Amino acid sequence: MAAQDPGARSGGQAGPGQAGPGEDVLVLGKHRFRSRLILGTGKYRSTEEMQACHEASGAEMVTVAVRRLDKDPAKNLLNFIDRRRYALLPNTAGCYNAEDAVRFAHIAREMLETDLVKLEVIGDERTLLPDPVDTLVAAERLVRDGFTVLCYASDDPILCRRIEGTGVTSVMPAGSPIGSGQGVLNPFNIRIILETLKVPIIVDAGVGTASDVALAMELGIDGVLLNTAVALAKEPVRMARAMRLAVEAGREAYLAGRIPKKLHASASSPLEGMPPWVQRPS
Amino acid sequence: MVSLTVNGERQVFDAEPTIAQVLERLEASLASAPGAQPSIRALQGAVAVEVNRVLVPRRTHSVERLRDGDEVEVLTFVGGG
Repeated sequence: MAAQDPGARSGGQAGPGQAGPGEDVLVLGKHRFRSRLILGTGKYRSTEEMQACHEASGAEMVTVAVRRLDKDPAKNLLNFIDRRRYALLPNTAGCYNAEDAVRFAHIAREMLETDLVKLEVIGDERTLLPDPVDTLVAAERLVRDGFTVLCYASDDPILCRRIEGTGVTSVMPAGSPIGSGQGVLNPFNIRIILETLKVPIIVDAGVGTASDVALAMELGIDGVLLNTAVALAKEPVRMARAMRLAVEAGREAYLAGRIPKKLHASASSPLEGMPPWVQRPS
Repeated sequence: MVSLTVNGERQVFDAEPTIAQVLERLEASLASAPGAQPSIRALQGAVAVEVNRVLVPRRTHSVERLRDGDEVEVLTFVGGG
């Protein structure tokens, strides 16, 4: 892949006067995060393990889903998340049309008094791919209703541009289907999205392991949202730490600016100054 | 007698309750449920209530009275991605 121009995008990065020198901050509306990793709260084997993963990941924001109150208080998630430490990002998971997703967002705002919402409108249960048409409709509505919308989308550059046009705060293209662990299947689309859009781009869904995250961050995206890759790893806490390191490594590599890929080798040691008896291949 | 449906279950009150009163009863029943731990609060204050499919703002929970036959949904957060 061609060399990236480091710092070419300012989306999600604090501009001059917003942050101290050398500070690399993800800005989402009025919210600021030092960590570029957003972690889910689903599928963990226990709430204790979830808490340990949040800690190890360094994440400052976690996603939550809206459901009917469970009779078992142990299932009431907010008992297990320190809200002074983690911002909550309510999602609209489980909604298959714009109307339901908008309703979920309003319910979440009433509960948390937060303007943040991860909008997702799913097309069908088997693929869990986003419904692009209803996603666009719901994004327009939620922006109008004053939400800070982080919008899950397929990795189609034109769709992402249309979603940006609704005034969302971030567009979050899927790397690959939710929970699939296939990584970023089309890095070329992500690069086009990065070139075209100005809002922060967060890859949401599909990453399987640390290298997927590092590769995605090296493209120049502003953050990664993941859940299953950590929650269902053999050792989730260790994977959470790996994801933190991968986000940091990928971000640093992007900012550092990688060398272009070349067909031929380029010696790291000088070719001059060799003793005359050294024989070179003819 | 006032009969409501709260999260799919019938609940009977002597008089028209406020939403806050319905939540208090729900919290009490959850606190006495098997396996409940005193350190774990049932509602955590973070619930949203829909009455007959309309979201009711939190500030009116202690004012708004429910009528016989009303359908109440109490929603909260669970784990998700």
